Amino acid sequence: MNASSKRKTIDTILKIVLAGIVFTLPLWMTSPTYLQILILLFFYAYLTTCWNLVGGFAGVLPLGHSAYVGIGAYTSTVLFMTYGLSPWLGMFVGGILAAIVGLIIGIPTLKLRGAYFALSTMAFGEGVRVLVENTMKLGPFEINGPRGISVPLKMGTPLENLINYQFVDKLPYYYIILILLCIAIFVTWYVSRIRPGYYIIAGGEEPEAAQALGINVARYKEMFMALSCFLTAFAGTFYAQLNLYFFPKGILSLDFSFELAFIALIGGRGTIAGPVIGALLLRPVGEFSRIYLSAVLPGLHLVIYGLILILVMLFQPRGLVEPLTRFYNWILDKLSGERKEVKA
Amino acid sequence: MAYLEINNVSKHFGGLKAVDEVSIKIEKGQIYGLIGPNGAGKSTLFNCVAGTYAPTSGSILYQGEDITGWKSWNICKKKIARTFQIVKPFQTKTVLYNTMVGAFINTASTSEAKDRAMEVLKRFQLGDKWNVQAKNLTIADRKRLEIARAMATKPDMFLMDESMAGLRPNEVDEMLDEIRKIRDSGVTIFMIEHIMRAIMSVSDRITVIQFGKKIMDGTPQEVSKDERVIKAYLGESYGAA
Repeated sequence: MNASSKRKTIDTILKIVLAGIVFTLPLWMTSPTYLQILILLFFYAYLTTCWNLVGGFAGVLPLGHSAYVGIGAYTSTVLFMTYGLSPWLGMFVGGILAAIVGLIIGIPTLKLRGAYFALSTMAFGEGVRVLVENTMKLGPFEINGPRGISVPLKMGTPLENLINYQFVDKLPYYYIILILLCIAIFVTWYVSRIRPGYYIIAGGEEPEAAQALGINVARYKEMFMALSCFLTAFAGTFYAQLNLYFFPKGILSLDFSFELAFIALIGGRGTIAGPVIGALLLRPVGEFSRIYLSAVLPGLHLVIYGLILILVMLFQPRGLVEPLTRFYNWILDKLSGERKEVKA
Repeated sequence: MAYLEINNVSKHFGGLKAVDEVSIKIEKGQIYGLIGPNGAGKSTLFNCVAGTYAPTSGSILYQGEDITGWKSWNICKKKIARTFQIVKPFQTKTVLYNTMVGAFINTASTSEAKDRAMEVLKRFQLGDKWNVQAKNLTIADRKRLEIARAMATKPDMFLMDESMAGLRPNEVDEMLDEIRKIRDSGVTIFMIEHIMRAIMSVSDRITVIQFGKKIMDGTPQEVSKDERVIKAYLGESYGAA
């Protein structure tokens, strides 16, 4: 066996081992606290992966994604409460609704550049929060303004629980968010390999040059915005079912939108692994600073994020995914005994 | 009917008449030069043809079809490609990636786009640099990439905006060969160039503009002897020379 095919085999084995660890993790990490932390970690990794579809590829910085999480959570929950519709179906309704809202917001704002886009999406996200906080009833739906919604508990047979997206222990949630994350990563990987992916990245980097090569840049940005919002809403439904309670200040907060941007920037914007790496690094920091430092100063974790972001931007402006990829390749080289390939 | 007809095109920015009533007729298979002092409006005229700007007035006909005010991506789909004076590569991406973006206009298949892009890269001596990030290229290679990427769209008409600026003399000669090769493959070329030696040797016809207005057009010999052109470039006192 020559060195490069050996390298490939080792690469595959390492990835399978990693996947195996991730999928069996709850079996030997049984503490519900740690499981909850892991679930939230994957939840953020999923959301950032969705965010990355537009924030990473389209070269813009959306800061209002909390709105789409909220749309997902509220839609599936009110449909469940009012019509008894399974949250699994409500999730898709929420996704479609979020995609439509994303398009309505995206069509005018995606033509803006740099900070203007970021500011307008931020204003939109805050606007949605204020709107929801001041609305008690929307048509036939009770949304309870600032008090938020408790998802009605309907425990029954395991099958009914599955249909109702409600589980007694955390384990099913772990696998649901893990599968959602895998889907989001697959979607990102897939679209980055086909024409729309090439077009959106080109349009994000040099819009004028991309247009001269026959790309209607705005159209592709809108497409990716819709896709991103569609998937983001799924996380909203997940959040609602995981906690069975949510309120505007939590699910529609600006912090939430910022955190996604932080994770993506630190992990590596516009890359496939970046959002996961960012969440893997930042979430534990966030959790522990929340647990141990929130008595000192609430919100300190955002300050810590900010510091990490400054350091990363200074020393690894393209995110931590770059040095980590180099490190991974180095390990592969060592294991396969191959001489270091010069990669440009 | 000419291949590309620019009829009385004007482009105003507020009170500034960047291009003022310019008409040019380009025949199929020509290399057509556009020259003029700095700020004469050459790039603005180009941008009007390429769809970056909509002209304030006048019309642009391509093979008899009115393309005035079309968006740049639709112009490109009409098989008119362009390069930029200041090259705009997709910096963080490889040379191959850059070129594939161009090749995708004729195919939705990634592998086909890759094959076509490699073909074009070999043609422009970038074949062995396919895996280099665009930001790590030399100026000459960046200029070449800019051309390769646009040529990957398989254009019938090619607008080249100062493709030789910043090149060393031997690189200019190489580029002139490339340009002739592109012409010989059946592409009509409309180019802006500041290097007189280059544009004089390669063009079939040249239009000179100054202050947004057309001064004259003619063969390179006619242009280089014309008193108005000499004045425009060297100033009044040299007019008599």
